[in-house]
Amino acid sequence: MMEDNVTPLRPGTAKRLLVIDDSAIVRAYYRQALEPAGYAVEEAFNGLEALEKALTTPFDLAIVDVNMPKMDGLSFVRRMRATEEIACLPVLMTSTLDRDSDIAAARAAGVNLYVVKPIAEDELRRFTHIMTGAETP
Amino acid sequence: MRVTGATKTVPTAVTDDEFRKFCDFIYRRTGMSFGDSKRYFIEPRLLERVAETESSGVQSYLSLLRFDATGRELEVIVNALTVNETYFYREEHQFACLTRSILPDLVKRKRPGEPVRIWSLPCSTGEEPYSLAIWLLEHWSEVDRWDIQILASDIDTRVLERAREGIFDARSVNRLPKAVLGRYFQPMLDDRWRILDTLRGSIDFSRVNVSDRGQMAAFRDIDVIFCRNMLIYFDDVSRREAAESMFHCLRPGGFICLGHSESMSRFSSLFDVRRFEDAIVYQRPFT
Amino acid sequence: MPLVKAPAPQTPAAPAFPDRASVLAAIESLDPSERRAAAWASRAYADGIDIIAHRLAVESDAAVVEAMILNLVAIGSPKAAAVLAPLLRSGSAARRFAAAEALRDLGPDALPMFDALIRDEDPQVRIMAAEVARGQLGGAAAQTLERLLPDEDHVNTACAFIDVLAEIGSAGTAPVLRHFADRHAGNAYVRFAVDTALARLPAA
Repeated sequence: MMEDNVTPLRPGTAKRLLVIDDSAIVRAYYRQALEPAGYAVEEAFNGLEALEKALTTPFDLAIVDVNMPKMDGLSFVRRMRATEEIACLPVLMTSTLDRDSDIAAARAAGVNLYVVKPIAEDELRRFTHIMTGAETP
Repeated sequence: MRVTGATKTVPTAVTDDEFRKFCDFIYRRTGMSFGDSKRYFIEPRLLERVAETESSGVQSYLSLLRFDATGRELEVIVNALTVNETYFYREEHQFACLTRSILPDLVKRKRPGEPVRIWSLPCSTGEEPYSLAIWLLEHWSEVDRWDIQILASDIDTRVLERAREGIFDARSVNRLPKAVLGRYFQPMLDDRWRILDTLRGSIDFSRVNVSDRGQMAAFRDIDVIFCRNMLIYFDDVSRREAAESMFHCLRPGGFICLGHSESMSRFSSLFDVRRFEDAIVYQRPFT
Repeated sequence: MPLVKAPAPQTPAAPAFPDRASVLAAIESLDPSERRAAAWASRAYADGIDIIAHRLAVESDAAVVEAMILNLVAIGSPKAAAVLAPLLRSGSAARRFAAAEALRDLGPDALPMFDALIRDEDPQVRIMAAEVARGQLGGAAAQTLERLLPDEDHVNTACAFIDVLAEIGSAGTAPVLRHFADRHAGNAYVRFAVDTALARLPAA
């Protein structure tokens, strides 16, 4: 349900985000943090669903979990970077894994920014603003 | 909004919250996602099930869905949400994708004389395989250079009987351009249409149960499978088994077209997703 | 007319593998399609699970792995669960989830294994075990998660439990979740996860 303080999205102007996580609660968390800031949020359950959605709709940023069924976050980013139509989509990866090797693997796959979970809402919005070039509200 | 009757409360509308919860539930269970744009379509069907199950409202119907261990009610509501009517040139964009993108991609790798094999599964009463035949004859510039085999299978022998008969009512051929109708059909006295015998004779109809591995193993070297609106009726394990079976019916590099509300992404990672101009399709990798 | 009637498909008359020895040979074949066919054929033998288990540990072809896992599920039994359980520790996310999904599909046969995995010392394994509970283990799995949640000190693992309880919990889950949220009052995400889960639980 829309809250009263939600900024209505102006069609065509809102930056479009693709939130990719197998947890419905995590997706809902991102949605409630980002929609009021004026973003249009689309959800995907795993990397495969994300590929399908990214191939049919243009997005300004993908926010990607690592650990997911069928196609994990790293495989998604590798596949995406190798697919002409969507190769340039910026990626913010969120994960519970915090070793240097995890971060290095993400960089090698083509992740632009890697953040260890859990992420506070204001932090999430800040990264999203920076990565989409959206004006800070 | 609720209308209070003399004996019980009958819900006549779905609140935003209920709608979201319902869609969320259906999405989690089936992977089918319905946005607000489909609300006009979903709401009456949802309310109909609420009434028929004698639930006191959408909330209690949702509880019923959640706790129905048999999955029966989920099946019923999913059927209601995917009314499976078939007609000629249904989801035409996929046929356009076939001739504009898929076949040109496939025949690049074929030697002259190798057949192009297309399988309609399930074929129901025949609209899909006959549509494929007509569409290829009408729209594929290379149609005369290749031997095209169209196979059509279904588990239901009654629909196969009707498919072989090739007689269709006016509603079924409604989407066909008049000229096309005139070229491939003969009008009958009772407002029905009979498809030309040459077309009838060119399609191989057979009974196949997708869950029967022996039967599926008989289908090899298929180039394209049209498998639209079937997997949505399967449970998760059957879906994965069916996908695995079809994977091996295809040649490496062969394609599967699913219905427009369906996706492989929830149950199988065996296929690559390919975006063509007119549609998203799934491809068996080459290696 | 370029349309050619396809020759009627023939169901192969004889199975490709006449005996157990030929299945054992095929499952180690260099040809993935042979290995896959052998995985399906192992179903017919009493030690089918062993035949598959031996190869599954080293199998790298995704389509063959899928066939093997589908057949383990089809054969069933707690023994099949025991073969799948170690895969929850795999370095590949796809394989971890494939195993969790298969354990879920095994239903009650996976329950003893679930009870052990959900208490594993590795928090990542506990997260994957929670995935198993998403399925049809019945009320027992939900009750186990409810019992373990208060003592779960890895917050990401706890959130995985909450995520699953939102789907399989009952009205009785609510107090457990509220209690957990109270203990982690400073964590905004935990609060959100609990509130969302509470909204999804069936009403008392």
